[in-house]
This record gives sequence, C-alpha cells and structure tokens, in this order.
Amino acid sequence: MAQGFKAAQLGSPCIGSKQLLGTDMFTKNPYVHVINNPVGEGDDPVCMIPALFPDVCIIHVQQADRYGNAVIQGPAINDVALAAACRKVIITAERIVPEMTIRENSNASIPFWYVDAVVELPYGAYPGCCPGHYYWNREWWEWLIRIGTITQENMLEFTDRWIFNTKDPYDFVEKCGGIRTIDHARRLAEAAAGISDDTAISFHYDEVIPKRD
Amino acid sequence: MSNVAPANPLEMLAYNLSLLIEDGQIVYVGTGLPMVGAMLAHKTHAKNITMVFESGGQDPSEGCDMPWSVGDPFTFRKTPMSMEMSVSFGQCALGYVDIAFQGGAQIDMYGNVNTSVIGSYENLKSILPGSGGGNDIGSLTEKSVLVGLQTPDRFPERVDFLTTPGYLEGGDSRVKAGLFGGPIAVVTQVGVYDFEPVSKRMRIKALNPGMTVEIAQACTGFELLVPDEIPMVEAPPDEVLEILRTVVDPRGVFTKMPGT
Repeated sequence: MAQGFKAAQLGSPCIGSKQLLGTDMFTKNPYVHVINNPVGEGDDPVCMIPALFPDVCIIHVQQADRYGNAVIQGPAINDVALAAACRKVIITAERIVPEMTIRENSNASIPFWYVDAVVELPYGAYPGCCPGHYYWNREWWEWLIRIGTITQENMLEFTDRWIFNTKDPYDFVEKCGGIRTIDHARRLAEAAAGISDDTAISFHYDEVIPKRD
Repeated sequence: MSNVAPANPLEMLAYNLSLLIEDGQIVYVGTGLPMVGAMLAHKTHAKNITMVFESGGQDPSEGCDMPWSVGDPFTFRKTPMSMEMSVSFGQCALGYVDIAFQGGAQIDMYGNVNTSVIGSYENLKSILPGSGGGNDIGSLTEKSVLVGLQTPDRFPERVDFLTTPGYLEGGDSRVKAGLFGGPIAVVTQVGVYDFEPVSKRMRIKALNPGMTVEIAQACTGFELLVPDEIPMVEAPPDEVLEILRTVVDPRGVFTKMPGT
C-alpha cells in the first residue's frame, strides 16, 4: 500500500516493484500484476502496483494552521503520500497554530490545498502515541488485544465502553484516569523523545495478563 | 563456579541474534527480540552499528528504555532525520541495509513467513496483523534473519499463507520469481538454522547448550536437514549476560521467561 500511495503522490498510474513477487500477497490480490520488466533486459519479473486513491482519510498531526498546512513531527510513515492521494482529507490537530508559525519554520509536510477540513482535536490520537504530546496507553492496547479480541462478546463490550459510550477524547482520557494518566503519558513521550531528562522516568507498567480459569 | 545464572532460552535466542550482527553494519530492526539482539550486539562486539526502522526512524540515539513498537518515539529519538516508509524500504533494495530481522506466526521449511491468516484464506481460523513491512523487507533485503519460537505448529512444512518470501518452493524458485538475496538464518529458542545452498531447505547450523537433534526435530513440523557435525553454541560469557540483564533489558520485557 505504501507503494500504491507513493505512485498516486507522484502522479504515476502505477509503480513497478519487487515487492509481493512469488507470494500469496500477490495471488490473493486481483489488482496487482506481474509482468516482465519492459525496460530491462532478459528475465526480470516486476510487480505492477496500481496507484491508490482512497475516498477519505483522517490524519492526526501535532500542528496545523487554519488553512490545513500540517506539521508532522516524527516519521510521516505514508501520511504525506496518503494526503496527496485521497479525494477528501481531514486534518485533526493537537494545536491550531498561527499561519506564520508554520511559515517561519517552513516545516509543513502537507500543504493546505490537499486538505478539505481542519479540526482542533487535542488528545485525538490517544490511546495511541502522539510524539511530543503523549505516549501510548499500553495497558489499554493489551486489554484490547489480549481480552477484547478473544470473543465476540468481549469485543462488543469493549466497543460499547470505549467507542459508543465515549463522547470525545477528553471523555476518553477521563475514563483512563484523567489528569494523572495523561500527564504521565506526556512525561513518557518527552522522555522517549529525549526532550526531558529520562534518567528518573520509569517506563514500567503493569502488563495485562488475562486470568484463565 | 560462576554465580551468574545460566542463560534462559530467550536470552540464548537474543545472544544468538547478536552474534549474527557484525560491527559497522546497518541493521533493520523490528521490536521485541531482534531489538534486544541488536542492542546487545551494540553493547558488546559491534559498537558501530546503525539501527534503522521501517516506520522511518533512522539511527536513533540511545534512550533509557526500549521501543514498545516500531512507531515508538525511541525509534526516532534525536535522529538526524526520519524517512517515509516507502523510502525506508527502498534503502533495503539499494543495498544500504546489511541485515534485517523478521518474526512471524509461521515459518516453513524454505524460510517463507506467514503473518496473515491461520487456516485457509477462504476458511479462516484466525486473522493475524498482516504483512506490515514484512513482505517489503523480505523481498528487498539481501540478507534477512528469521526469528521465532519453535513449535511444530509454528514451523509447518508449508505456511498457511505466504506473506513474506523466503525461498518459496526451494531451489532457484526465489530467483525465478525475480528476487535476490533471501533469509540467511533462522534463530529460535532451540538453536540456529541455515538453508542448504542448493535445495534451500532449512538445515541445523548450531544448537544451544542442552539441545539435541531429537529436540530440534520434535519442535518442527517438517524434516530438518541434519549435517554430519553440529556445533554447540557456546554459552554466553558472564559479562555478556550481565550486560543483557542490567543494561539491555533490565525489566526483562522480552527475555524473562513467562511465569517466572
């Protein structure tokens, strides 16, 4: 998919790649084709991956201005290519900053003309990690993976509690323990990134281990 | 008599991984045991390695803990730069990356890896996280090392779903499919395996202390190739174990045996 978004970002209809060759990732995917490299010599199979144009994407960033110029701190993964490729792009941001802040640093990775809507949404990536702002809530993820996904019943209970009965990110943070939890998450994120002294910070947490009868 | 407790199987696994890394190499690491192995190598015999991550972190500076996932801030802590994912994969194909590590739910006799589904694709038993960057790394990197806990279920003759290419059907099938390189080793709690150069079948290379060919075979769902002479891996020196336990993984996140 990284290749498909990249192709779209480059304005190219497809990308010739050495990925997927010989695997079920290829045989189970009707959209990719293997051809002999038409610009190479001799036998040289390449996998043609079509450009991907998703309908909508929502990208959470640390900073954006009111027009949608968005700053990603840390690796962009596929987000810049994705923003270029998507028909509708929604940017959610920890902070909406003045336009000049971004202009002065010249550090936007997504330009405003890719963007259709900007939403100020503090804690929008929680319980995930937003570099510079908060670290993962690791217990929450372990609950999801080790308990939530085990049965249909567990999953419904989990989505009920954490999605359908949660108003907004603030409500989510409150349910996770409020100010203490989020402040700890901020300290961990800063320590991990090396922007605060990490010698006195412990990354210890109580692992979620399901009890079996 | 040494008063350092002998290495447990997970520590042996991490130690064997570290031995595969040479000084000066650029290493593509995942989280978990590969991370422990790479950090151990960095703290012992390979001080000048550079770690790169699929999420885009390149050469992070050392922190007080280990990344919890490849997207962790520790993977891009004070890095000179971070890369987009497709570019980060591209540097494998360009030959900048010397060695890469991969795990998987299933590894078969030709080093193919499954991280997609258990059961047949049409009749699923369980759905796994999928390729992530696995296929890209296995396809593009010249030398990859597979890491897994070895049981007959996890080491079947054929993977249920071929996510990441090893040597496909063996022989020259990987080359015919258009790929170069391939896995050079498989490291498990039992020992280290490599691939017979012609048939590309998994072969015992060395066994951990206390392990035998019978144990290795009993942990495997297919017939392992057994060379005439099998060296035993020497137990890690006390000072290496000390570094592993006090500096690399002091909380025992990845190297403590479950239930101890």
